Amino acid sequence: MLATGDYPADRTFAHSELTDTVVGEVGIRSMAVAPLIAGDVRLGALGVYSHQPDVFTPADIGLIRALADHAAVAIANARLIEQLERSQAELARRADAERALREIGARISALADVDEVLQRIVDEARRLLGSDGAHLTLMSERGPFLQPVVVAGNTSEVERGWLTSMEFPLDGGINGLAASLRAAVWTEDYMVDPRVPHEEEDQEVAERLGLRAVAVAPMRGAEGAILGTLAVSFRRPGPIPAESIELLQGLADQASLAVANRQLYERLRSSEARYRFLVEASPDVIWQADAEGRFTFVSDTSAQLTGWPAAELVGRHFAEVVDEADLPTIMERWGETQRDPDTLQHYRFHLRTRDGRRIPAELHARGIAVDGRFAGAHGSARDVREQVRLEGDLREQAVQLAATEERAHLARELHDSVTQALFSMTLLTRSIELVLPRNTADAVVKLATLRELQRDALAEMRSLIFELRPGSLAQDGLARALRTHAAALQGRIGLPVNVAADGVERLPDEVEDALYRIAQEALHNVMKHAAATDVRVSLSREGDQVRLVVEDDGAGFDPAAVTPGSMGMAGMRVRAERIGGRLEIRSRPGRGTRLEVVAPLGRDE
Amino acid sequence: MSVPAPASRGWPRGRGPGKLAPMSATSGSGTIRVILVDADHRVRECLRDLLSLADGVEVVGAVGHAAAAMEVADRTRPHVVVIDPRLPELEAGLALVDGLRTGFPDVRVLLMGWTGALEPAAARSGAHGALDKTAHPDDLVAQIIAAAREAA
Repeated sequence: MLATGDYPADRTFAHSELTDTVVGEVGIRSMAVAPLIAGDVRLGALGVYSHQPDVFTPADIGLIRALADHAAVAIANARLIEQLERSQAELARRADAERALREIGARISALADVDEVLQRIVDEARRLLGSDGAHLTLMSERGPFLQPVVVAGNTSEVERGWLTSMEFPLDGGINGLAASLRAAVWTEDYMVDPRVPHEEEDQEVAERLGLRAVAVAPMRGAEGAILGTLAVSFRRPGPIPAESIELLQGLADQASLAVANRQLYERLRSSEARYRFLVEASPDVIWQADAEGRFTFVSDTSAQLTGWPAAELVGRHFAEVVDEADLPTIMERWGETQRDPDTLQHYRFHLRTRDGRRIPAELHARGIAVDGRFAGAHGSARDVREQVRLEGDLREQAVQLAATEERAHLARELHDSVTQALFSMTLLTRSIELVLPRNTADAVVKLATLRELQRDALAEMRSLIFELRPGSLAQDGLARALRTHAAALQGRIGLPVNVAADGVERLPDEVEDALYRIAQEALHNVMKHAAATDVRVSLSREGDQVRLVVEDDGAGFDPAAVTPGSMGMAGMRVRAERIGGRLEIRSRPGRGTRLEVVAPLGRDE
Repeated sequence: MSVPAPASRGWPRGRGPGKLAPMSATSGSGTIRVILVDADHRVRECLRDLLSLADGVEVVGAVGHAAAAMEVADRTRPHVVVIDPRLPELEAGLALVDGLRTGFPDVRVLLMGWTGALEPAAARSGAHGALDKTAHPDDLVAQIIAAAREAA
């Protein structure tokens, strides 16, 4: 508080030339000045004056002081209110920006048209930042350029067309700068900013678009890739506040999301298109079924394979296209898929066509689990008729090859056996020569043995010729061929082979052939592995069936431990199947082996 | 090892019934013990018969497979083992030769078979000699006795 009765003459305070001149011109003599202070802040001062000297009493001065204090509070309040209003506007602006970002986010999530979302982002950028122009660039597919693709809605058609035909290099212009720095950049005045190149062309763009203050935020994709930029421009130079840059970056991030989503979506679409192509081009029937086993999708190839058009199969249970005989197996597999959807099932079965035909098919199936719960299955079914036929041919060839080898092997063995018999006879003849003069009775016994040897050798010779000349079976008949073969074995390894084939007349050629080969293989196995002392072969006819049994009392084996595909076994089985018969082998270690074939005779009779 | 040449083929005219002199093994060294190993029982029986007619030769075993041969050899300690190596596979016979040579170093092992197939097998196996089944029976007996003398 300052008060004086004579301003020009009073030397208790500092004078300045300027104020003294004003005081002189106005004719101020008395003066009282009170500071306006609110809290610690000096807001100004309140002063009163008079042309008369020594006018203000202490009461006057007190009054002035009180008035000044009131004024200070009023001014402070006004300022506070003003501040409050400003912060409310700021809040509203922030809320507005947030709402805009949220809305854009919702649109992106809804996979709305990306171009529309980008347009909205550009328009919102212009509106929220209060700029004159706004545009969005995307990385060009043709090279390292940024191509403006979206411009704010207020831009004229001509400008829009011109701008979207431009390509901004990454090493020039403010868009390129933001992209290279991977951070938002802004300039108070684009026209003079030393950071951006000012070639003639750039200046032309800047002038035409009215670029002075400019802010650009990069659109960053996954793994730091730059997808494009979002820019706002002002026709007048000036600073751009930090929160505006922040908001711009937020919008650019939203745009990145939208663009990345579009790329993902396009990839999904193209993979879907590829998948669709595969489904359409595949000779297999591609299918999908729900948790109950009803088809939800069947590819068009279904019509060729099953006779059911795809559209008619949808909604039907898969059991309708499965052959009845295979249904129990299929249902079992379906159960496995329900329990363990991730495991790929792969097996053969028979399809039942619409007109009731059986078609061999190969199935691939995998379950579909949604949130860990079985929701159905999908897979493919393939026509394997041709494959089955080829496999059959191949198996036939393998059997024939095995038969040829078997025959050659047997012929070798028989030849060897006959030679051994002759050697034995040679030795025995010499023994008889030596014994004869001394012991006639012994010589007679030895001669009987010699005759036995000769008889066996003869049987072996017949058997050998039989193997070398396969027509003999047709000539001799199965029963006789079995007896000859048994006699040969008996001679060779001293193993008694009992053949019971009474009352069986001639059978169809292919049945005789198959049964003979099976018996031969079985006896061969007995000889080789069984160490048996008693072997029985029986051939009997029961109505329109024929039964062949080969059993021994030898070592036996564990049928489960024998490889099912082992050539001998497989060969016998195939031969039996080929004549419509059924082959059964029963054996236990130490308890001998029994092989039985039952075949129908109905066909040729 | 060296493989003796197989005995001459054919039947020398001079040999007739009644004389066992060339087959005699009695020379003061005691009885010759022989084991026969052949998968064919007829060969086993006839060869046993013929050998038993020679003085001083005892066939202590005539068996059809390798395991039995080892068992009998262990029990009877023979001077000679005659093996047709196809038991029924050649490898089984050659393994038996090996087993006998290792387990009974004093035993003479003779392979028996058909000329041609026999020699390479004999050379490979470590057998002491080879008998040709096409030779005269007397020569076979003589070779077995000769092999036993080598062992003694």
